[in-house]
Amino acid sequence: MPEFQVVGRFSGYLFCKRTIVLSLLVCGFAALHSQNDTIRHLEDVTVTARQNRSVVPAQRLTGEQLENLNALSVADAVRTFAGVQVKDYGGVGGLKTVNIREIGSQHAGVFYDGIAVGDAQNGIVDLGKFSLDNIDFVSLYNGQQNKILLPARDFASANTIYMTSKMPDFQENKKTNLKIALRYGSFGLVNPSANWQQKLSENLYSSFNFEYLHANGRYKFRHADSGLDTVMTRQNGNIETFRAEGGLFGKIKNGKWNAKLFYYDRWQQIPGAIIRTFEYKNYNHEQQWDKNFFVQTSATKQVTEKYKLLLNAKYANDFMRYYNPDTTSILIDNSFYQQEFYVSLAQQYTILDFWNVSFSADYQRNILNSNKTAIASPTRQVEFLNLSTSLNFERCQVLANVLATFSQEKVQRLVPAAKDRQQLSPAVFAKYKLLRKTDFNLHAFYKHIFRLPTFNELYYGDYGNYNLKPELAIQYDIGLDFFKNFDKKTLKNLQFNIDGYFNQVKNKIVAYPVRPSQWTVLNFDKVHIFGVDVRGQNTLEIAQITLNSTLAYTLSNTVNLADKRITTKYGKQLPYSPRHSATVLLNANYKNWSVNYNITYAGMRYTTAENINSEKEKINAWTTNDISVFNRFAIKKINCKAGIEISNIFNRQYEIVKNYPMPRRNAKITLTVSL
Amino acid sequence: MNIKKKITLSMVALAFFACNPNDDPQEPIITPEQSEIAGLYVLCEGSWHGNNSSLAYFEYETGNFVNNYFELKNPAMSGLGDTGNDLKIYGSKMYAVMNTSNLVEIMDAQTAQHIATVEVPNCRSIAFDGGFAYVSSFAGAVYGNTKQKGYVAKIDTVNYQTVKTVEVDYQPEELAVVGGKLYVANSGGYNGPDYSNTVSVINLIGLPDFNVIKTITLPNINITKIRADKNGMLWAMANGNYDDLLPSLTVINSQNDQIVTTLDMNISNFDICGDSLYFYGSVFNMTTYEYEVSYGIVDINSQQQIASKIITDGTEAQIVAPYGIIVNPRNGDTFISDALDYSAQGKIYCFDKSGVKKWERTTGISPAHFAFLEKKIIINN
Repeated sequence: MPEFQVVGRFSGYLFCKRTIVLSLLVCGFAALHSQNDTIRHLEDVTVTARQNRSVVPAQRLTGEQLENLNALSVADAVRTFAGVQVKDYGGVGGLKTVNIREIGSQHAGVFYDGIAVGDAQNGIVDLGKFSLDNIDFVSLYNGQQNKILLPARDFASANTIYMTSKMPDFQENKKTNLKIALRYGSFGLVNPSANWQQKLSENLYSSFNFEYLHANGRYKFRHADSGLDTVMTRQNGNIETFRAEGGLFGKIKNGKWNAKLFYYDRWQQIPGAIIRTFEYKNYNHEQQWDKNFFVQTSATKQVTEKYKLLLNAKYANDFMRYYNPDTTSILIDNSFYQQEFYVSLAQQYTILDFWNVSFSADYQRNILNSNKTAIASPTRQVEFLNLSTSLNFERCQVLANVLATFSQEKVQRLVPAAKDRQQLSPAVFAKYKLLRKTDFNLHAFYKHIFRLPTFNELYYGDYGNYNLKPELAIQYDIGLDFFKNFDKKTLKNLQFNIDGYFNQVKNKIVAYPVRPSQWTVLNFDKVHIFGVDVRGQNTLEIAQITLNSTLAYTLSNTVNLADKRITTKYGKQLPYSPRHSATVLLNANYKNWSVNYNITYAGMRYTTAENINSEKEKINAWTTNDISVFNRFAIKKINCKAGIEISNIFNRQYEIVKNYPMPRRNAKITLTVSL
Repeated sequence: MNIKKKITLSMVALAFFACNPNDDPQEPIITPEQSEIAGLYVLCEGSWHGNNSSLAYFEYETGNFVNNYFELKNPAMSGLGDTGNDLKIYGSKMYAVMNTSNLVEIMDAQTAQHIATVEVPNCRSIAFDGGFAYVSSFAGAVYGNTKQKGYVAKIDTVNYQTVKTVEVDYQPEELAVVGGKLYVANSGGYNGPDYSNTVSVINLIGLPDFNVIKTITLPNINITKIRADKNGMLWAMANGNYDDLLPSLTVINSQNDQIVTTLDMNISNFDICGDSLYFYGSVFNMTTYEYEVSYGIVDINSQQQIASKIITDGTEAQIVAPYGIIVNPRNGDTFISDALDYSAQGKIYCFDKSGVKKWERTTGISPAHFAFLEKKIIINN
C-alpha cells in the first residue's frame, strides 16, 4: 500500500539523522512517569505557558476561558476554534453539530473524559447536549491526539474533540468543595447547577454535578429575506433539561482509575424554518425527547518502568423520541433506542528511551431499535486494532500508527445487512524544531481514515441504502508553530501557528432524489478542500492589567467534484462553507475584575451547490460581538463570582442555517458561590 | 397596444437581466413568434423549507423568458413561498398552490400581481368549475392516531372564502372535473407501502351538493394524477409501489364511472392535448446513478400507445430528470422541464410539433407545473 511507503520514508529519514539525544521534556511518557503522584495527567494541566506540547499543536480552551465566552454548551465554545463550523439552528436548544475542516460532521470524533461518545444511528454528536458547567477544558486535535497510549478508537476519526470534566481538586486541609451557580437570562433562561466534590480518603475522591435548564426560546427576529420586514417572535422553542453526573477518582500504586455515571434528560420543541405562511401563522409543533445515560470506567497503571497499561470500558443507553403532532402534515411519532458496549485495552512499551510503541485493541457493539417497523433493527460490532510508535529526539518528533478496523452487521428484518468491512488506516505526525534555542517548529501530518455509513444511511426506510460503502477522508497538513515566554515587562508570551491543509473526501455519502419526493443516500460525491488555519495568542501586562488575546482565522476553499452532468455545480464551493471565518477573543483582568470581548465572523455562504449570488440562495456574512464582565468577591469565607454577559451587542440579525434566524441582542447574569 | 406591451415587457426583462447576473447571457435568443397563446407560466417548486419557489414566464411575441417573475412583479413581497405544487389559470386569475406555505396564492393572470391568499393547510392541487376553486389537501381528520384522511376545499373565486370541505381518502392529489363531477386521485402517500387505490367522486350539481357520491377502486395503487380528455374519459395514473408494482394508466368513463381499460407502462407524468396523451416515464437506476427515461404518445381514442418518442433530434440525452410536460394546444409546441438533481436550477426545453428543439432555458429549482396564458382580447383601451 502506498500509505505504508510514506511511513517507511519518514522513519528512514529520521534514523539517518541519528540525533539520539534524550529530551525527556518533550517526551510525554517521561513526564507522566514523574507525575504519578498527582491526580492529573501532566499534559492535561494547563498553565499560562504553552497550551500543548503536541507534535501538531492542538487548540484548547480551559475552565476560565470557557467561562469568558458567553457560552452555555460545548458547541458555543468549539466554534471559536480555527477550522471549525458549527451548525446551529438558533436558540437555546436545537441540534448543534460540528464540521471540522469541511470534512463533514460525521467525521468528527467526540470524547468525554477520554472515552468516545457514540451515535451509530446518526453518526453525529449533538454538542448542544454538553453543558460547560462541568467542563474543565475542551481540546480540538486535527487528526488525532499526539500520544500513543490511547484506545484504538481514538485513532478512528478524521478529527477529534476531547471534553474533559472538572476533576476534584482540594486545597490543603479541605475535604469538601461545594459550588453553586445560578444563571438567569433572556428567552426565559433559568439555569441553576451544583457541584459537590468530596475527598473520601487520600486515594479516593468523588464528584457530583447537577444542572437544570429551562428556557422558552422566544426571541424576536427580523427575517432576512428581502421584502419581509416584519419583526416576529420565534415560536415553539421551549426547552427543559436535567443533567446529573457522578464520578469516583482513585489512586493505585503507580496508577489511577476513575468511574463515571452520566445522565442527561432533555425535552425540547423544535422551532422550524421561517417560510411564507398565511398571515405568518406558526405551523411548527415538533418536539423531541432525549434521554442519554452512560457509565464508563478508565484505569491506567505504570506496570514496570517500561510498560504501561490503559483500560477503558463503557455502556451507553440512549433514547430519542421525535414527535410531530401537527395535523396539517404527516404524523410522526418515532422512538429510537440505542445501546453501546465498549471495551478497550491499550499498552505502551518503551523500547529505547527515545522510542515507544503501543498496541491497543477495542471492541464496540451498537444496537438500534425503534417503534417503527419501517426501520430495520441493526446490530453492528466493530473491532479496532491499532499499532503506534513514537520517536522523540532533541529537535524532532515522529508519531505513526496504523489502525485496522473490522465491522460486522446484522439486521432483524426488511433488508440485508451491510457487508462486513475491513480497512487499514495509517497516519503520520512529525515535528522538526527549526531553531535550536527557540520553540519554533515545522510540523506536518498525513492521515487516512474512513467512516462507516450510519444506521440511518443504511437502513432508514426508503431513504437507507444498505449497499453504501465507507466514506474516506484523507488529510495532508503542513505548518509552523512558534511559542515564547518573555521576561520583559509588557509582553509575557506569544504564540503563533499557521497550517495549510489539503483534504480529500471520497465516496462521500450524499442524499440524492430517486423520485421527486423520495431521496436516498449514495456514495456519489468527491470533495477537495484547501484551507489555511491561522492562530495567534499573547499575554500582555500593562500596569496591573493582564490582557490575553486570541485570534483564529480560517480560509477554506472547497471544491465540489460531484455529478459531472450538472455542470453548473461542478467545481464550485460547497454549500454552507464560508471562504473566510474568524474569531477574536479578548480578555482583560484587573484585580478582581475580568472583562471579555469576543468577536465571531463568518463570511458569505451559498446555500446551493451552484453558488448563486442572489439573496434567496446565499447567507450574508455576519459578525457578532459579545461582551462580559465578571467580579470576584468574598463574603466572609465564601468565594463568589458575579457576572453579566451580553451577546450580539449590536443586535445583528444573522443566520447560520437558511431560514433559521439567530437571536439578536441577549443577556445573561450569573452568580457562582463556592464553599 | 402590442407595441406598448412589448416595450414594457422588454424593459422589465432588461431591468431583470441587468440585476440578476445568473441568467446566462450566452443562451441564444428565442425567435419571437405569433401564437394564439400569449405565453407560458412555469412554477418552480424550489427546495423544501428553502422558501424559494419561483415563477418563470415565457412570452411568445417577444421571445422573452424571465425567471423570478413573481418577485419582479411584486417587489414589496418576499416571494411566492415554499414548495409550489400546482399552477392553474381560471378566468382572469392565476392560482399557485403553495404546499408547505399552506396557502393558495391568487394572482392576476395577465400581470402575475398578487391579489389574495387563501389558507389551505398542506394543499396539493387545484381544479375549477362554476366560479369555484377545488383544492385538495392532506390535512384532514386523523383516525386512530395514525392515519390521516385528506379533504377537498371548495373556495369561492370572487371573495376567496372557503365555502365547504369534504373528506376524501388518504392523501388526495390531482382533481379533474367532468360533467358536474369532481374526480379526486387518492395516493395514500403517507401510508406507503400501503398506498391507496381509489378515486373519489364528488357531485358538484344536485342536492345536497359537494359530497362523495362514489369511490372507484383502481387495479393499481398510489394514484397521483387524473386528467379528463375531450371524450369525457378520465386518465388516472397510478405509480405502483416503486418496487414490484409498476406504474399504470387507467381509463375511467365519466358517464358510468366504470373502468374502461388499464395500460401498464413506464409513466411518471403526462399531458393530454387534442387526441394525444404525451407522457414520459423516469426510473432511477441505483447502479448507474442515472434516471432511465422513456417518452411516448397514447392515442386517446384507440387508447393505445402510438409512438415511443416525443423528442426526435437527440436532445433527450441532455435531459437528466424530466419533471414536467405540457403541450401547446394551438401549435403543438411541447415543453419538457428538467429538475436535474432537484436542488440545482432546472431547465426547460421547447420542442416544435415534429420534436425538434426550438430553445432551452435555465429556470428556478425543480420546474414542474405550467399554465398557458391565453391572449387577452382587448376591445377598448
